[in-house]
Amino acid sequence: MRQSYDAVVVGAGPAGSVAARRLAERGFRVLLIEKRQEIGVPVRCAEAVGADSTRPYIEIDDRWVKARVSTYSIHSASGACVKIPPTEPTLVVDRKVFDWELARLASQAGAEVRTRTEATGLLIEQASVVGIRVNSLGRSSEVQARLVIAADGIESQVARWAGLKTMPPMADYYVGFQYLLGNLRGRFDPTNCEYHLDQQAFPGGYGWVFPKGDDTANVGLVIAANRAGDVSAQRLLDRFVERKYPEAHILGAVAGGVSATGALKKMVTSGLVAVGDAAHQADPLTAGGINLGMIGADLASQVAADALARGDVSARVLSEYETRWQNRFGAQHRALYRIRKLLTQMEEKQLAHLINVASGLPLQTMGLRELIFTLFKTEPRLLAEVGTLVTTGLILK
Amino acid sequence: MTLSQLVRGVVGDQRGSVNRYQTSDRHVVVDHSLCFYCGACVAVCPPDSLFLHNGFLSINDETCTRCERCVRMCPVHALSTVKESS
Repeated sequence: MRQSYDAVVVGAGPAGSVAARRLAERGFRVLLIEKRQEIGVPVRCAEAVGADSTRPYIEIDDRWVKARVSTYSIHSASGACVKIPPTEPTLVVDRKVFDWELARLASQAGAEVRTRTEATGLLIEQASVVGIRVNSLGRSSEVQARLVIAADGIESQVARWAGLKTMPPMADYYVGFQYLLGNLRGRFDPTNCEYHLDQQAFPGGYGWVFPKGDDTANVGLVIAANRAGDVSAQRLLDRFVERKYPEAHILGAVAGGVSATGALKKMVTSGLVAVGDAAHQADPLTAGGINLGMIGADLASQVAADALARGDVSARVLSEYETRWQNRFGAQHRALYRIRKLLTQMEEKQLAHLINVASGLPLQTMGLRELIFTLFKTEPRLLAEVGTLVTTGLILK
Repeated sequence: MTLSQLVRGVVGDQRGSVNRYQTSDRHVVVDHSLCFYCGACVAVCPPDSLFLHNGFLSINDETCTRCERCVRMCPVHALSTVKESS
Protein backbone atom coordinates (compact mmCIF):
# COMPACT_ATOMS: atom_id res chain seq x y z
CA MET A 1 0.00 0.00 0.00
CA ARG A 2 1.34 3.42 -0.99
CA GLN A 3 1.00 6.65 0.93
CA SER A 4 -0.98 8.38 -1.78
CA TYR A 5 -3.40 7.54 -4.58
CA ASP A 6 -5.53 9.36 -7.09
CA ALA A 7 -8.57 7.56 -5.73
CA VAL A 8 -9.34 5.34 -2.76
CA VAL A 9 -12.52 3.26 -3.07
CA VAL A 10 -14.02 2.02 0.19
CA GLY A 11 -15.96 -1.24 -0.21
CA ALA A 12 -15.44 -4.01 -2.77
CA GLY A 13 -19.06 -4.79 -3.61
CA PRO A 14 -20.22 -4.49 -7.22
CA ALA A 15 -20.36 -0.66 -7.11
CA GLY A 16 -16.92 -0.23 -5.52
CA SER A 17 -15.25 -2.72 -7.84
CA VAL A 18 -16.75 -1.10 -10.95
CA ALA A 19 -15.70 2.38 -9.82
CA ALA A 20 -12.15 1.19 -9.04
CA ARG A 21 -11.85 -0.62 -12.35
CA ARG A 22 -13.13 2.27 -14.46
CA LEU A 23 -10.68 4.71 -12.86
CA ALA A 24 -7.77 2.27 -13.12
CA GLU A 25 -8.60 1.75 -16.80
CA ARG A 26 -8.25 5.50 -17.27
CA GLY A 27 -4.73 5.30 -15.87
CA PHE A 28 -5.33 6.58 -12.34
CA ARG A 29 -3.67 5.06 -9.29
CA VAL A 30 -6.48 3.42 -7.37
CA LEU A 31 -6.71 1.62 -4.04
CA LEU A 32 -9.80 -0.55 -3.42
CA ILE A 33 -10.24 -1.56 0.21
CA GLU A 34 -12.64 -4.10 1.72
CA LYS A 35 -13.08 -4.38 5.46
CA ARG A 36 -14.08 -8.03 5.37
CA GLN A 37 -11.43 -10.68 5.06
CA GLU A 38 -13.05 -12.05 1.91
CA ILE A 39 -14.80 -10.36 -0.97
CA GLY A 40 -18.43 -11.30 -1.61
CA VAL A 41 -19.27 -12.72 1.82
CA PRO A 42 -21.51 -12.54 3.67
CA VAL A 43 -24.11 -12.18 0.92
CA ARG A 44 -26.94 -9.78 1.81
CA CYS A 45 -29.01 -9.99 -1.32
CA ALA A 46 -31.63 -11.85 -3.37
CA GLU A 47 -29.01 -12.05 -6.14
CA ALA A 48 -31.12 -11.17 -9.21
CA VAL A 49 -29.61 -8.99 -11.94
CA GLY A 50 -30.69 -7.85 -15.40
CA ALA A 51 -28.54 -9.56 -18.05
CA ASP A 52 -28.43 -6.53 -20.37
CA SER A 53 -27.62 -4.12 -17.54
CA THR A 54 -24.85 -6.39 -16.25
CA ARG A 55 -23.08 -7.08 -19.56
CA PRO A 56 -21.27 -3.72 -19.77
CA TYR A 57 -19.45 -4.59 -16.53
CA ILE A 58 -18.73 -8.28 -16.76
CA GLU A 59 -19.01 -11.05 -19.31
CA ILE A 60 -21.89 -13.35 -18.43
CA ASP A 61 -20.31 -16.51 -17.05
CA ASP A 62 -21.81 -19.83 -15.95
CA ARG A 63 -19.47 -19.86 -12.96
CA TRP A 64 -21.76 -17.33 -11.30
CA VAL A 65 -25.04 -17.64 -13.23
CA LYS A 66 -27.25 -19.96 -11.19
CA ALA A 67 -30.51 -19.48 -13.11
CA ARG A 68 -31.76 -17.77 -16.26
CA VAL A 69 -35.17 -16.26 -15.77
CA SER A 70 -37.60 -15.41 -18.57
CA THR A 71 -40.79 -14.60 -16.63
CA TYR A 72 -41.88 -12.98 -13.38
CA SER A 73 -45.05 -14.15 -11.66
CA ILE A 74 -46.94 -11.95 -9.25
CA HIS A 75 -49.11 -13.65 -6.63
CA SER A 76 -51.71 -12.26 -4.26
CA ALA A 77 -52.57 -13.79 -0.89
CA SER A 78 -55.76 -15.38 -2.23
CA GLY A 79 -53.88 -17.10 -5.03
CA ALA A 80 -54.49 -14.69 -7.93
CA CYS A 81 -51.50 -14.88 -10.23
CA VAL A 82 -50.19 -13.21 -13.35
CA LYS A 83 -47.03 -13.93 -15.34
CA ILE A 84 -45.31 -10.97 -16.94
CA PRO A 85 -42.25 -10.72 -19.12
CA PRO A 86 -39.38 -8.93 -17.32
CA THR A 87 -38.08 -5.62 -18.74
CA GLU A 88 -34.90 -7.55 -19.57
CA PRO A 89 -33.77 -11.20 -19.24
CA THR A 90 -32.90 -11.82 -15.61
CA LEU A 91 -30.09 -13.82 -14.07
CA VAL A 92 -29.93 -15.16 -10.55
CA VAL A 93 -26.28 -15.11 -9.61
CA ASP A 94 -23.96 -16.43 -6.96
CA ARG A 95 -22.85 -13.16 -5.38
CA LYS A 96 -19.81 -14.75 -3.76
CA VAL A 97 -18.34 -15.56 -7.17
CA PHE A 98 -19.84 -12.51 -8.92
CA ASP A 99 -18.45 -9.97 -6.46
CA TRP A 100 -15.11 -11.71 -6.34
CA GLU A 101 -14.86 -11.72 -10.13
CA LEU A 102 -15.69 -7.99 -10.33
CA ALA A 103 -12.96 -7.24 -7.79
CA ARG A 104 -10.53 -9.40 -9.75
CA LEU A 105 -11.33 -7.39 -12.90
CA ALA A 106 -10.58 -4.19 -10.97
CA SER A 107 -7.29 -5.68 -9.85
CA GLN A 108 -6.49 -6.81 -13.39
CA ALA A 109 -7.13 -3.25 -14.62
CA GLY A 110 -4.47 -2.00 -12.21
CA ALA A 111 -6.41 -1.13 -9.06
CA GLU A 112 -4.64 -2.24 -5.87
CA VAL A 113 -7.10 -4.39 -3.92
CA ARG A 114 -6.74 -4.99 -0.18
CA THR A 115 -9.13 -6.98 2.00
CA ARG A 116 -9.38 -6.85 5.78
CA THR A 117 -8.67 -3.15 5.41
CA GLU A 118 -11.11 -0.84 7.05
CA ALA A 119 -11.69 2.91 6.73
CA THR A 120 -11.61 4.44 10.20
CA GLY A 121 -11.77 8.14 9.33
CA LEU A 122 -11.49 10.79 6.63
CA LEU A 123 -8.63 13.26 6.36
CA ILE A 124 -9.98 16.76 5.90
CA GLU A 125 -8.24 19.93 4.74
CA GLN A 126 -9.96 23.23 3.97
CA ALA A 127 -13.35 21.50 4.21
CA SER A 128 -12.34 19.00 1.53
CA VAL A 129 -11.71 15.29 1.82
CA VAL A 130 -8.02 14.71 1.09
CA GLY A 131 -7.50 11.17 2.23
CA ILE A 132 -8.47 8.40 4.53
CA ARG A 133 -7.38 6.77 7.74
CA VAL A 134 -7.29 3.01 7.45
CA ASN A 135 -6.63 -0.02 9.53
CA SER A 136 -5.13 -2.70 7.33
CA LEU A 137 -4.62 -6.14 8.81
CA GLY A 138 -4.25 -4.56 12.24
CA ARG A 139 -1.99 -1.62 11.28
CA SER A 140 -3.27 1.95 11.21
CA SER A 141 -2.08 4.47 8.68
CA GLU A 142 -3.10 7.57 6.77
CA VAL A 143 -3.45 7.46 3.01
CA GLN A 144 -3.65 10.61 0.89
CA ALA A 145 -6.25 10.48 -1.86
CA ARG A 146 -7.24 13.13 -4.38
CA LEU A 147 -10.67 11.50 -4.35
CA VAL A 148 -12.42 9.10 -1.97
CA ILE A 149 -15.27 6.94 -3.27
CA ALA A 150 -17.67 5.72 -0.59
CA ALA A 151 -19.00 2.32 -1.70
CA ASP A 152 -19.42 0.93 1.79
CA GLY A 153 -23.03 -0.12 1.52
CA ILE A 154 -26.23 0.64 3.36
CA GLU A 155 -24.40 1.15 6.65
CA SER A 156 -21.91 3.55 5.00
CA GLN A 157 -19.90 5.41 7.56
CA VAL A 158 -17.67 7.11 5.03
CA ALA A 159 -20.54 9.00 3.38
CA ARG A 160 -21.76 9.95 6.82
CA TRP A 161 -18.38 11.23 8.00
CA ALA A 162 -18.34 13.40 4.89
CA GLY A 163 -21.65 14.89 5.98
CA LEU A 164 -23.67 13.32 3.15
CA LYS A 165 -25.83 10.71 4.69
CA THR A 166 -29.41 11.65 5.37
CA MET A 167 -31.51 9.44 7.56
CA PRO A 168 -34.82 8.61 5.83
CA PRO A 169 -37.86 7.80 7.97
CA MET A 170 -38.25 4.15 8.96
CA ALA A 171 -41.10 3.78 6.41
CA ASP A 172 -38.46 4.13 3.70
CA TYR A 173 -36.30 1.27 4.90
CA TYR A 174 -36.90 -2.36 4.13
CA VAL A 175 -35.93 -5.05 6.62
CA GLY A 176 -35.00 -8.26 4.83
CA PHE A 177 -34.43 -11.90 5.51
CA GLN A 178 -33.79 -14.78 3.14
CA TYR A 179 -33.09 -18.49 3.15
CA LEU A 180 -31.30 -20.41 0.47
CA LEU A 181 -33.53 -23.47 0.42
CA GLY A 182 -32.68 -26.89 -0.97
CA ASN A 183 -34.56 -30.14 -1.63
CA LEU A 184 -37.12 -28.29 -3.75
CA ARG A 185 -36.88 -30.09 -7.08
CA GLY A 186 -40.17 -29.74 -8.97
CA ARG A 187 -41.56 -27.29 -6.40
CA PHE A 188 -40.88 -24.14 -8.42
CA ASP A 189 -40.23 -23.10 -12.02
CA PRO A 190 -36.46 -22.64 -12.45
CA THR A 191 -37.02 -20.06 -15.23
CA ASN A 192 -39.42 -17.87 -13.25
CA CYS A 193 -39.08 -15.39 -10.38
CA GLU A 194 -42.06 -15.38 -8.00
CA TYR A 195 -43.17 -12.21 -6.21
CA HIS A 196 -45.72 -12.53 -3.42
CA LEU A 197 -47.78 -9.49 -2.45
CA ASP A 198 -49.49 -10.25 0.82
CA GLN A 199 -49.76 -7.49 3.40
CA GLN A 200 -50.45 -9.94 6.22
CA ALA A 201 -47.43 -12.10 5.52
CA PHE A 202 -45.11 -9.29 4.35
CA PRO A 203 -46.32 -6.00 5.86
CA GLY A 204 -45.27 -3.07 3.71
CA GLY A 205 -43.13 -5.29 1.49
CA TYR A 206 -43.18 -8.52 -0.45
CA GLY A 207 -41.88 -12.06 -0.52
CA TRP A 208 -39.99 -13.84 -3.29
CA VAL A 209 -38.87 -17.18 -4.64
CA PHE A 210 -35.89 -16.80 -7.00
CA PRO A 211 -34.57 -20.01 -8.56
CA LYS A 212 -30.94 -20.82 -7.96
CA GLY A 213 -30.79 -23.99 -10.00
CA ASP A 214 -33.29 -26.84 -10.32
CA ASP A 215 -33.64 -27.75 -6.67
CA THR A 216 -32.47 -24.69 -4.72
CA ALA A 217 -33.99 -21.23 -4.47
CA ASN A 218 -33.54 -17.94 -2.66
CA VAL A 219 -36.75 -17.58 -0.66
CA GLY A 220 -36.99 -14.30 1.17
CA LEU A 221 -38.92 -11.24 2.14
CA VAL A 222 -38.66 -7.56 2.85
CA ILE A 223 -41.00 -5.68 5.14
CA ALA A 224 -41.28 -1.95 5.76
CA ALA A 225 -39.19 -1.10 8.82
CA ASN A 226 -41.96 1.07 10.31
CA ARG A 227 -44.34 -1.90 10.16
CA ALA A 228 -41.92 -4.38 11.69
CA GLY A 229 -43.67 -5.42 14.87
CA ASP A 230 -43.51 -8.13 17.48
CA VAL A 231 -42.64 -10.76 14.92
CA SER A 232 -39.21 -10.53 13.34
CA ALA A 233 -38.63 -10.67 9.59
CA GLN A 234 -36.98 -14.03 10.16
CA ARG A 235 -40.07 -15.45 11.91
CA LEU A 236 -42.37 -14.08 9.19
CA LEU A 237 -40.28 -15.91 6.63
CA ASP A 238 -40.34 -19.09 8.73
CA ARG A 239 -44.15 -18.99 8.58
CA PHE A 240 -44.13 -18.53 4.81
CA VAL A 241 -41.63 -21.36 4.31
CA GLU A 242 -43.42 -23.75 6.68
CA ARG A 243 -46.63 -23.16 4.74
CA LYS A 244 -45.18 -23.29 1.24
CA TYR A 245 -42.15 -25.58 1.45
CA PRO A 246 -42.36 -27.71 4.61
CA GLU A 247 -39.92 -30.21 3.11
CA ALA A 248 -37.20 -27.63 2.38
CA HIS A 249 -33.68 -27.79 3.76
CA ILE A 250 -32.00 -24.58 4.87
CA LEU A 251 -28.70 -24.28 3.00
CA GLY A 252 -28.07 -20.65 3.90
CA ALA A 253 -29.54 -17.63 5.63
CA VAL A 254 -29.12 -13.96 4.89
CA ALA A 255 -30.22 -10.87 6.82
CA GLY A 256 -30.06 -7.23 5.86
CA GLY A 257 -31.61 -3.83 5.52
CA VAL A 258 -31.95 -1.52 2.56
CA SER A 259 -33.20 1.99 1.96
CA ALA A 260 -35.97 2.32 -0.64
CA THR A 261 -36.14 6.08 -1.10
CA GLY A 262 -34.30 6.56 -4.35
CA ALA A 263 -30.78 8.00 -4.40
CA LEU A 264 -29.59 10.68 -2.02
CA LYS A 265 -29.94 14.16 -3.51
CA LYS A 266 -26.44 14.99 -2.35
CA MET A 267 -24.03 12.22 -3.34
CA VAL A 268 -20.84 14.30 -3.48
CA THR A 269 -18.79 16.67 -1.42
CA SER A 270 -15.40 18.17 -2.18
CA GLY A 271 -13.04 15.24 -2.68
CA LEU A 272 -15.65 12.52 -2.19
CA VAL A 273 -18.44 10.74 -4.06
CA ALA A 274 -20.82 8.03 -2.80
CA VAL A 275 -22.01 5.15 -5.00
CA GLY A 276 -24.31 2.12 -4.69
CA ASP A 277 -26.19 1.47 -1.47
CA ALA A 278 -24.01 4.07 0.28
CA ALA A 279 -25.82 6.60 -1.93
CA HIS A 280 -29.19 4.81 -1.52
CA GLN A 281 -29.24 3.95 -5.22
CA ALA A 282 -31.38 0.82 -4.83
CA ASP A 283 -34.68 0.60 -6.73
CA PRO A 284 -37.42 2.25 -4.61
CA LEU A 285 -39.96 -0.44 -5.53
CA THR A 286 -38.08 -3.75 -5.38
CA ALA A 287 -34.99 -2.56 -3.43
CA GLY A 288 -32.82 -4.31 -6.02
CA GLY A 289 -29.49 -2.54 -6.10
CA ILE A 290 -26.79 -4.50 -7.94
CA ASN A 291 -27.33 -3.08 -11.42
CA LEU A 292 -28.16 0.40 -10.18
CA GLY A 293 -25.06 0.41 -7.99
CA MET A 294 -22.85 -0.55 -10.92
CA ILE A 295 -24.44 2.12 -13.14
CA GLY A 296 -24.03 4.67 -10.33
CA ALA A 297 -20.37 3.71 -10.01
CA ASP A 298 -19.94 4.02 -13.77
CA LEU A 299 -21.52 7.49 -13.87
CA ALA A 300 -19.48 8.56 -10.84
CA SER A 301 -16.22 7.31 -12.28
CA GLN A 302 -16.79 9.10 -15.61
CA VAL A 303 -17.27 12.40 -13.78
CA ALA A 304 -14.47 11.60 -11.31
CA ALA A 305 -12.01 10.78 -14.11
CA ASP A 306 -12.67 14.13 -15.77
CA ALA A 307 -12.40 15.92 -12.42
CA LEU A 308 -9.10 14.21 -11.60
CA ALA A 309 -7.74 14.96 -15.07
CA ARG A 310 -8.65 18.64 -14.66
CA GLY A 311 -7.21 18.72 -11.16
CA ASP A 312 -10.48 20.00 -9.70
CA VAL A 313 -12.41 17.64 -7.44
CA SER A 314 -14.57 20.34 -5.87
CA ALA A 315 -18.19 19.54 -5.02
CA ARG A 316 -19.27 21.85 -7.84
CA VAL A 317 -17.44 19.79 -10.46
CA LEU A 318 -18.38 16.41 -8.96
CA SER A 319 -22.05 17.39 -8.77
CA GLU A 320 -22.25 16.66 -12.49
CA TYR A 321 -22.56 13.04 -11.32
CA GLU A 322 -25.72 13.87 -9.38
CA THR A 323 -27.14 15.61 -12.44
CA ARG A 324 -26.44 12.61 -14.67
CA TRP A 325 -28.02 10.26 -12.15
CA GLN A 326 -31.12 12.43 -11.79
CA ASN A 327 -31.48 12.77 -15.55
CA ARG A 328 -31.36 9.03 -15.97
CA PHE A 329 -33.30 7.78 -12.94
CA GLY A 330 -34.83 10.68 -11.03
CA ALA A 331 -38.33 10.70 -12.52
CA GLN A 332 -38.47 6.92 -12.92
CA HIS A 333 -37.54 6.34 -9.29
CA ARG A 334 -40.05 8.88 -8.01
CA ALA A 335 -42.72 6.97 -9.93
CA LEU A 336 -41.57 3.59 -8.59
CA TYR A 337 -41.65 5.03 -5.09
CA ARG A 338 -45.30 6.04 -5.64
CA ILE A 339 -46.14 2.59 -6.97
CA ARG A 340 -44.66 0.95 -3.89
CA LYS A 341 -46.76 3.17 -1.64
CA LEU A 342 -49.87 2.26 -3.65
CA LEU A 343 -49.23 -1.46 -3.72
CA THR A 344 -48.50 -1.69 -0.02
CA GLN A 345 -51.69 0.18 0.86
CA MET A 346 -53.88 -1.92 -1.37
CA GLU A 347 -56.39 -4.36 0.06
CA GLU A 348 -56.16 -7.98 -0.97
CA LYS A 349 -59.47 -7.82 -2.89
CA GLN A 350 -58.31 -4.88 -4.94
CA LEU A 351 -54.93 -6.42 -5.62
CA ALA A 352 -56.43 -9.76 -6.67
CA HIS A 353 -58.77 -7.86 -9.01
CA LEU A 354 -55.84 -6.05 -10.65
CA ILE A 355 -53.91 -9.28 -11.04
CA ASN A 356 -56.93 -10.98 -12.58
CA VAL A 357 -57.44 -8.13 -15.05
CA ALA A 358 -53.74 -8.18 -15.92
CA SER A 359 -53.73 -11.91 -16.55
CA GLY A 360 -56.33 -11.37 -19.30
CA LEU A 361 -54.21 -8.82 -21.13
CA PRO A 362 -51.79 -9.52 -24.01
CA LEU A 363 -48.77 -8.92 -21.78
CA GLN A 364 -46.15 -10.14 -24.25
CA THR A 365 -46.95 -7.23 -26.55
CA MET A 366 -47.67 -4.59 -23.92
CA GLY A 367 -45.19 -2.14 -22.49
CA LEU A 368 -45.19 -1.69 -18.75
CA ARG A 369 -46.48 1.86 -19.15
CA GLU A 370 -49.46 0.63 -21.14
CA LEU A 371 -50.06 -2.15 -18.63
CA ILE A 372 -50.15 0.24 -15.70
CA PHE A 373 -52.47 2.60 -17.56
CA THR A 374 -54.84 -0.22 -18.39
CA LEU A 375 -54.82 -1.58 -14.86
CA PHE A 376 -55.31 1.77 -13.20
CA LYS A 377 -58.27 2.58 -15.43
CA THR A 378 -60.11 -0.37 -13.91
CA GLU A 379 -59.92 1.04 -10.40
CA PRO A 380 -61.42 4.48 -9.69
CA ARG A 381 -59.11 5.04 -6.74
CA LEU A 382 -56.08 4.33 -8.90
CA LEU A 383 -57.31 6.49 -11.76
CA ALA A 384 -56.48 9.55 -9.70
CA GLU A 385 -52.91 8.27 -9.42
CA VAL A 386 -52.41 7.97 -13.17
CA GLY A 387 -51.91 11.73 -13.37
CA THR A 388 -49.26 11.59 -10.65
CA LEU A 389 -47.41 8.82 -12.42
CA VAL A 390 -47.48 10.64 -15.73
CA THR A 391 -46.19 13.86 -14.25
CA THR A 392 -43.43 12.03 -12.39
CA GLY A 393 -42.57 10.40 -15.70
CA LEU A 394 -43.35 6.73 -15.43
CA ILE A 395 -41.29 5.40 -18.29
CA LEU A 396 -39.50 2.19 -17.54
CA LYS A 397 -37.42 2.05 -20.68
CA MET B 1 -18.64 19.07 14.16
CA THR B 2 -19.58 19.27 10.50
CA LEU B 3 -17.27 19.12 7.55
CA SER B 4 -17.60 22.80 6.71
CA GLN B 5 -16.52 23.78 10.23
CA LEU B 6 -13.45 21.65 10.03
CA VAL B 7 -10.43 23.34 8.50
CA ARG B 8 -7.99 20.49 9.03
CA GLY B 9 -8.36 17.26 10.87
CA VAL B 10 -9.94 13.85 10.86
CA VAL B 11 -13.59 12.89 11.04
CA GLY B 12 -14.30 9.32 11.90
CA ASP B 13 -15.19 6.92 14.66
CA GLN B 14 -16.67 8.67 17.64
CA ARG B 15 -16.35 5.93 20.16
CA GLY B 16 -15.66 7.62 23.47
CA SER B 17 -17.74 10.79 23.04
CA VAL B 18 -20.82 11.35 25.18
CA ASN B 19 -24.35 12.23 24.11
CA ARG B 20 -26.39 14.40 26.43
CA TYR B 21 -29.75 13.81 24.81
CA GLN B 22 -30.62 10.36 26.04
CA THR B 23 -34.37 10.04 26.25
CA SER B 24 -34.70 7.05 28.54
CA ASP B 25 -32.79 4.99 31.04
CA ARG B 26 -32.91 1.88 28.90
CA HIS B 27 -29.82 0.46 27.20
CA VAL B 28 -29.74 -1.18 23.81
CA VAL B 29 -28.14 -4.61 24.00
CA VAL B 30 -27.30 -7.16 21.33
CA ASP B 31 -27.86 -10.91 21.60
CA HIS B 32 -24.87 -12.31 19.74
CA SER B 33 -26.50 -15.71 19.42
CA LEU B 34 -29.10 -14.13 17.12
CA CYS B 35 -27.13 -11.36 15.37
CA PHE B 36 -26.24 -11.87 11.67
CA TYR B 37 -23.91 -8.85 11.70
CA CYS B 38 -25.72 -7.52 8.64
CA GLY B 39 -25.37 -3.84 9.53
CA ALA B 40 -29.03 -2.91 9.05
CA CYS B 41 -29.04 -1.32 12.52
CA VAL B 42 -25.86 0.63 11.78
CA ALA B 43 -27.56 2.19 8.76
CA VAL B 44 -30.45 3.66 10.74
CA CYS B 45 -28.61 4.88 13.85
CA PRO B 46 -28.83 8.70 13.93
CA PRO B 47 -25.95 9.32 16.38
CA ASP B 48 -23.74 6.66 14.76
CA SER B 49 -23.51 4.64 17.94
CA LEU B 50 -23.40 1.18 16.39
CA PHE B 51 -20.26 -0.30 14.87
CA LEU B 52 -19.63 -3.34 12.76
CA HIS B 53 -15.94 -4.10 13.20
CA ASN B 54 -14.23 -7.28 12.10
CA GLY B 55 -17.63 -8.88 11.68
CA PHE B 56 -18.71 -8.01 15.21
CA LEU B 57 -21.37 -5.54 16.36
CA SER B 58 -20.68 -3.14 19.19
CA ILE B 59 -22.74 -0.36 20.73
CA ASN B 60 -21.51 2.92 22.18
CA ASP B 61 -23.88 3.33 25.10
CA GLU B 62 -22.47 6.78 25.84
CA THR B 63 -23.61 8.30 22.53
CA CYS B 64 -26.78 6.21 22.09
CA THR B 65 -29.94 8.34 22.35
CA ARG B 66 -32.21 5.30 22.97
CA CYS B 67 -34.35 6.12 19.92
CA GLU B 68 -34.67 2.36 19.29
CA ARG B 69 -34.69 2.65 15.50
CA CYS B 70 -32.08 -0.13 15.48
CA VAL B 71 -34.36 -2.37 17.54
CA ARG B 72 -37.16 -2.02 14.98
CA MET B 73 -34.78 -2.41 12.05
CA CYS B 74 -33.24 -5.71 13.16
CA PRO B 75 -34.41 -8.58 10.87
CA VAL B 76 -33.82 -11.19 13.55
CA HIS B 77 -34.70 -9.23 16.72
CA ALA B 78 -31.18 -9.52 18.05
CA LEU B 79 -31.41 -6.03 19.55
CA SER B 80 -33.52 -5.19 22.55
CA THR B 81 -33.56 -2.72 25.40
CA VAL B 82 -32.98 -3.45 29.05
CA LYS B 83 -33.62 -1.24 32.02
CA GLU B 84 -30.59 0.38 33.61
CA SER B 85 -29.52 -1.78 36.52
CA SER B 86 -26.05 -1.64 38.01
